[in-house]
Amino acid sequence: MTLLRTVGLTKRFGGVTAVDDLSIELGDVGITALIGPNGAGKTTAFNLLCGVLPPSSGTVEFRGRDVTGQPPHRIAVLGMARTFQNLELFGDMSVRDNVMVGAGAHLRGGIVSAALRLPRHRSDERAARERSDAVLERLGLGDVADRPASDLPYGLQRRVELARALATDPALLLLDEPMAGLSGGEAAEVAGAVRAIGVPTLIVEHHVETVMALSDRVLVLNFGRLLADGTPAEVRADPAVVEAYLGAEDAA
Amino acid sequence: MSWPWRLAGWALFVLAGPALLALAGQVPFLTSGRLVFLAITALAAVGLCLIMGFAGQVSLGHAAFYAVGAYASGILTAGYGVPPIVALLAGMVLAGAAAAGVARAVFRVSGHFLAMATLAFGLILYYSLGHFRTVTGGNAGRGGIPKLAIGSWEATTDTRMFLLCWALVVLGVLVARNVVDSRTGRALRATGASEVAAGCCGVNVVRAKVGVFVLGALYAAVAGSLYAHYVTYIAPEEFGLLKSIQFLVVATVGGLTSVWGGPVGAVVLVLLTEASREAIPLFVEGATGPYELTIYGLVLVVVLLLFNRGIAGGIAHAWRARGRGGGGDPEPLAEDATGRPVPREVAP
Amino acid sequence: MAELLQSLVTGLTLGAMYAMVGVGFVLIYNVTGIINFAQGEYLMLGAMTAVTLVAAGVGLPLAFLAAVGVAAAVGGVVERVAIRPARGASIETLILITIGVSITLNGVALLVWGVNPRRYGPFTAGPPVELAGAALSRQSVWVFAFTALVAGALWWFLERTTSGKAMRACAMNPEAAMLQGISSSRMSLYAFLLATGIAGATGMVLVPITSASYNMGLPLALRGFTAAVIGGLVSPLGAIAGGLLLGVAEASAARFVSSGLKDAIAFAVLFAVLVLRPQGLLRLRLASRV
Ligand SMILES: Nc1ncnc2c1ncn2[C@@H]1O[C@H](COP(=O)(O)OP(=O)(O)OP(=O)(O)O)[C@@H](O)[C@H]1O
Ligand SMILES: [Mg+2]
Repeated sequence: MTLLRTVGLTKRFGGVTAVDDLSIELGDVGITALIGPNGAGKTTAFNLLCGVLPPSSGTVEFRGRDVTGQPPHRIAVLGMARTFQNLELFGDMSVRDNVMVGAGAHLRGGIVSAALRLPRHRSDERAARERSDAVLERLGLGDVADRPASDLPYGLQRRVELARALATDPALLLLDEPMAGLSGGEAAEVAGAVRAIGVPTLIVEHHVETVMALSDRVLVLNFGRLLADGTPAEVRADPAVVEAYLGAEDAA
Repeated sequence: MSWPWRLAGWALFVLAGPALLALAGQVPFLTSGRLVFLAITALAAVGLCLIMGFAGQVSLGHAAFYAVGAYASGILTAGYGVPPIVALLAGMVLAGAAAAGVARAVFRVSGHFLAMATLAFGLILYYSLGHFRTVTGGNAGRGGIPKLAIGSWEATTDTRMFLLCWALVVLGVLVARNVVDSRTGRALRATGASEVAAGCCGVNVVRAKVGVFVLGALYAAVAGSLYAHYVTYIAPEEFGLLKSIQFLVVATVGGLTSVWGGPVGAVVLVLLTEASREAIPLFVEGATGPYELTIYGLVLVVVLLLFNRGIAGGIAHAWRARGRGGGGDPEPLAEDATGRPVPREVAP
Repeated sequence: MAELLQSLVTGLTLGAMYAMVGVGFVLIYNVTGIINFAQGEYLMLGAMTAVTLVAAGVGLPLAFLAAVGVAAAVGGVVERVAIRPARGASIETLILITIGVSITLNGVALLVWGVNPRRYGPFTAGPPVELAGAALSRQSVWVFAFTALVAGALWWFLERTTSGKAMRACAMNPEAAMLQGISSSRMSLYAFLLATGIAGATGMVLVPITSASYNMGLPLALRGFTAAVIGGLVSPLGAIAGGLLLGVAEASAARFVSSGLKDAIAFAVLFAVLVLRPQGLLRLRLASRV
């Protein structure tokens, strides 16, 4: 089954074409890595997929629906969740509240039921709370649930973002460099968690070994264009990729 | 916070009203009349805290919605004999509709542009109040507005009016607390911290912004109605930019990120300004005009530079930090949510 | 026709005042990213200082220098005491701080000078200048001359002097400027000194037209801000053009629509520009961004 399909997705910023005619298809299982040199357009591609930026041209289809130009919250409610390369936590809010924002994605209770504390509000609140606590436990964040998110060390903040995304009950997870800035041990934990979650995932990651070990499929982006698409082994052997990206990595 | 503490807090808050009344008899510069204004200001400021502190939207036009409440009450009761309570509700509906319209227009802009757009809206309304005489009474104002009455109970004395206003402040804070502490409230705070991340978590950012603007405007509208029925006379002067700024100062000094910010700020500033109105003439001979502005300005700058969360916000923060052993400020890994620059990926 | 010309002349005089205030907003906004809400108060300080000195028998040239000096000195102190310490704070906080500064200066001026407006006569006495049937007051001529002088001096400063170039560099790309050893802290101070100095001078020149009072600043600041926004908030020249446009629009509205509504119309313009075209109405590429 096709989960996500883009056709000719393009984004131009003035003279720069950050994403150039990108057509990809993702199935509803497995972990797909999106790699490419700095400035290749990976983050921009994410922003196009989840509706943060409107594409200059091209379409995005998610779970059989055309979501091109839809606002982010619609796409999120449809089941696409993401994390951010530069953390975008709700810093003053507690870790639990951060995650509960995600858990609230599928609830309908509005401002009136909240203001008057109607039964609706109580059942909503219970559902969100249970869902969040389960996710927090699963990611080992139970102990810090009541601390303000900005209080946590960097590694845990990354994990809170992951928890927040998971709490929306996603059908597809977009992770933008979730291991950037983490220690080896922490990165391995995150990799393990991503594997264990079992939600189809598109992940941006620079560390080649991690990508090779973690993903079932690798997409390579260069100057906004899709350069290669295949299994880790195939991509690794692709001369164009070696020249554009992996080679540079080895030389460095 | 465990529930006995919370209950004690609310009890203290409810009793602060009668306590202030008792104080009014003792302190020379504090009258029960001044207390009515204090409560009205507090109520409007609670609404502003919701808009600014929780949703991160700057509003320099809060007095506009205060004006809508006041003029709806004034015109409907004095002009058409509508009962005050009905007029108050009508004022809320009108102010809510106006806020929804303005918010729809301005939600795309933020920061300075939002601040100035709300300011411009406030001034457009202010000058219109002076110009469209047949409806508003123009700059001369409009009198003959009845005192507030609910059934056979009438707020004829200052004491009665203050107790009613204080009850509404308590109710207002309670509703604000309920909203903040809910899915909607979390969505608002999330929107204030990072619109992009909130959107990607399923928050309808536009609806959140419009919603909080409307909610905040309802507080201002009720405050405006109370003002009209208390003073029984309204003129544009009360509803200009200075009023918006006064609400802003009260909310900021009290603490924008706390539902208690409105009442705390109002009490502190009213006491300070009343005291300074007594004290300043002792130092500056023949001082006239609204010179308590000096105090407002100084207090605002000092609070922002020294304790940026305001008084109530600072206390709440210290209280929370207390449980974490040593407390102190969070390590500066991620910038304060509002202080962070927009990441390159999402810059317009 | 004469009526049209008259409102054009009146509007241009108004517009020149707005332009000078707008230039101050642009200078500070571009270098520091702050909309200095208190901008009008420096104008008031300049006007009040000059009025006080002239009343004490001081000559106009000296009063002019004092107006500039006092406004810039206060501006510099405020920048160091209230703005600099808050760098890195959120935009909301910075807006509130400049509002706080504004009402503080307002209140202090009220305590020092009282509520009554004060004034002195035009710089040169005599009947208005006749211009194809329209009357142009002598002080208006001074205002135009002053505006032209400031515009020219600013151009020279920003394009020809090292400090001016450094300031422009800082506005265009703060990080790159820092790498070149330009101190953003010093540039912020310069921008405040320059902008508040210009405001002080403007206030001094305006006294014969508007007279001076403790609360004269805010209305002019709001017009100046509108002028700056119409000009796109990035170039001083844009602000000047925006100011002239706003002045003419306001004078025409007062004459041909309704003088009671001219303020509401001015702010409706501001609201519409902010909401519909926050990048400004005029795209002037004649002068570089400051
Ligand atoms: N909002 C924007 N405005 C203008 N240009 C942008 C914007 N966002 C990205 N770009 C440009 O688009 C290109 C792709 O950027 P993008 O952030 O998508 O790359 P990336 O692959 O995520 O890089 P990195 O590995 O550094 O995160 C870059 O040249 C960048 O400068
Ligand atoms: Mg990236």
